[in-house]
Amino acid sequence: MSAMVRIENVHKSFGGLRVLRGVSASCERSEVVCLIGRSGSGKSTLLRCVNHLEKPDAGRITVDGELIGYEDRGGRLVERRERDIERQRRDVGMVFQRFNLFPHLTAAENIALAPRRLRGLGKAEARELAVGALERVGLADKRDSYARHLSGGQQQRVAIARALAMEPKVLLFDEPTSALDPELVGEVLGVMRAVAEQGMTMLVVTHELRFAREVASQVLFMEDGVIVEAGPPGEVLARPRHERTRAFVSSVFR
Amino acid sequence: MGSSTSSAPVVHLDSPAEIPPEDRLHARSHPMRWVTGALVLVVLGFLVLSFARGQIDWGVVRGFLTAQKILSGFAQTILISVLAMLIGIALGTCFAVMRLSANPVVSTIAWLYVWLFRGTPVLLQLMMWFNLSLIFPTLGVPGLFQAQTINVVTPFVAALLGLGINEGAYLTEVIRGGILSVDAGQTEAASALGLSRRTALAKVVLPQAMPAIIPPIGNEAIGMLKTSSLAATISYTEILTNAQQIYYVNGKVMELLIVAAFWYLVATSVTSVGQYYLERRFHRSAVRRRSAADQIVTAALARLRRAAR
Ligand SMILES: Nc1ncnc2c1ncn2[C@@H]1O[C@H](COP(=O)(O)OP(=O)(O)OP(=O)(O)O)[C@@H](O)[C@H]1O
Ligand SMILES: [Mg+2]
Repeated sequence: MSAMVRIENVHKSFGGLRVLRGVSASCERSEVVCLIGRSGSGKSTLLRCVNHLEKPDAGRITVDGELIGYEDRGGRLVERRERDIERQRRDVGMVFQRFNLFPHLTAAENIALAPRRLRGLGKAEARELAVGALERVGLADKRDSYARHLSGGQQQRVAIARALAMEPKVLLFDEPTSALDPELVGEVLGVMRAVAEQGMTMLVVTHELRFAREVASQVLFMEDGVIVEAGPPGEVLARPRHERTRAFVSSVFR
Repeated sequence: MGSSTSSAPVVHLDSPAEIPPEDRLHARSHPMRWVTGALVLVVLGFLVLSFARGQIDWGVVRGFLTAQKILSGFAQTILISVLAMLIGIALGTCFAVMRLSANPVVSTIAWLYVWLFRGTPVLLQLMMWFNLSLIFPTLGVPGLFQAQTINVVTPFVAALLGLGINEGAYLTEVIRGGILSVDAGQTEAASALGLSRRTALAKVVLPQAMPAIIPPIGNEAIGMLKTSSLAATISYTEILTNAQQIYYVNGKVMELLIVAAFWYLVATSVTSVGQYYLERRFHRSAVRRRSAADQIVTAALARLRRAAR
């Protein structure tokens, strides 16, 4: 069985602060894995290691069998060339908490930029692709809107469409609904659910435990840079074995 | 709220014209603005009057305004300013990116460049370029080509190098500031899509840095039009040199300086208008506070454009 994402014994420090202390996890093809845990436990850092936005200090991460960010040179793992890293990132989409749409571009241009540059599409082709991606998130009518004229929920849906347009093997979500007004959370979760149903492999950092329970096949609870508990949501969320998981889950569910 | 203030009646109106006069809210009046405005006009009138009555031969001013030597000098001023500015922008962009590089060697080189060329007077730099032949009598790559420095570094070339490289040092800081003003999340989003650093810079970061970069570049361009007069010291024949040469002969010092001032004002005004349009283009969403003069000029331009159609 070959996992789509495999994380093995990853360590990462910022200065003297040990943020990841030996994290291992794996995610099968078309699986949705939710990562939960308190603020500062290292969730974002772990996610950012998967597309090499952060460089781990030790351990290995593979996506579809390919070692991310490093290559074997005579038994030593050495960081890859920038161009290789860029190529690897095309296969790993990322959705940010603060959307990070390009504000000087329209929704369609946001989506078309990377495919045009990296997949050699012409202008018309790229636009067609962008409109198609917008249709998938229900925003085809907003194709010519700038981000500032969209609600937070719509911006995040455009950001998801932008990631999807590169046809990644995995999509990473870092608290995609945390910056949203409560009434807008549902529309974004709805889109994520639909994307999951279409077979996308997803690694999701979230505080939406209901989403985790209904969509995830695996929930990882992280604390102080280690994964304390992992398993199907029915176990981790409903009958946590560890005291810390129990405290966290009950604090979030209230 | 005290009970003495009666609450405004809640009404739904289709147009502001339907608001009864007694319910209307009014803008604050500013009587002091009229007073100070009138004062300024008086002072201005006094200045204009004294210049008109002063011992200035306005006939000479009018006569030399379009003299061939003045116009060709003005053309040289424009030429050197535009070219030096283009060199400055190119160097500034290049070194700004270098300063932000993760490579310490590269960023140190850029830092040195700014330190050296911003830390010495531009007049001194112009003189050094002009006198380059004193230390390097010949220029070239051994075995490939060789030339006398005096023939290569003409006053024009020396002025271009001096002004352009100096400008580049200032614009490095301006452009670096503009790049840093863009949220780091933008670069991250571009990287996460797999875009190269170069593409992210060109397509994502620099366009967003423009609103922060354009106004200071406009100021620098206006500064350059005037600084270019320093090239007179290395015998580059721009407008001020030519004006001087004329008044050495005819003695009409002030008249010719006024002629030069007129053309400088024409050039800087045109640059300001260009800057205004560039700013507007790169700052579509921003609502900006505009001066009265600015409003009058734009209104006049709009009227002209309508009339032309
Ligand atoms: N670039 C950085 N430099 C220094 N410290 C960092 C950096 N990024 C993260 N940290 C620190 O690492 C720790 C873990 O951060 P991380 O963002 O991974 O946590 P998180 O679980 O995502 O928390 P949150 O729920 O607040 O997003 C925090 O203490 C944070 O301050
Ligand atoms: Mg986080």
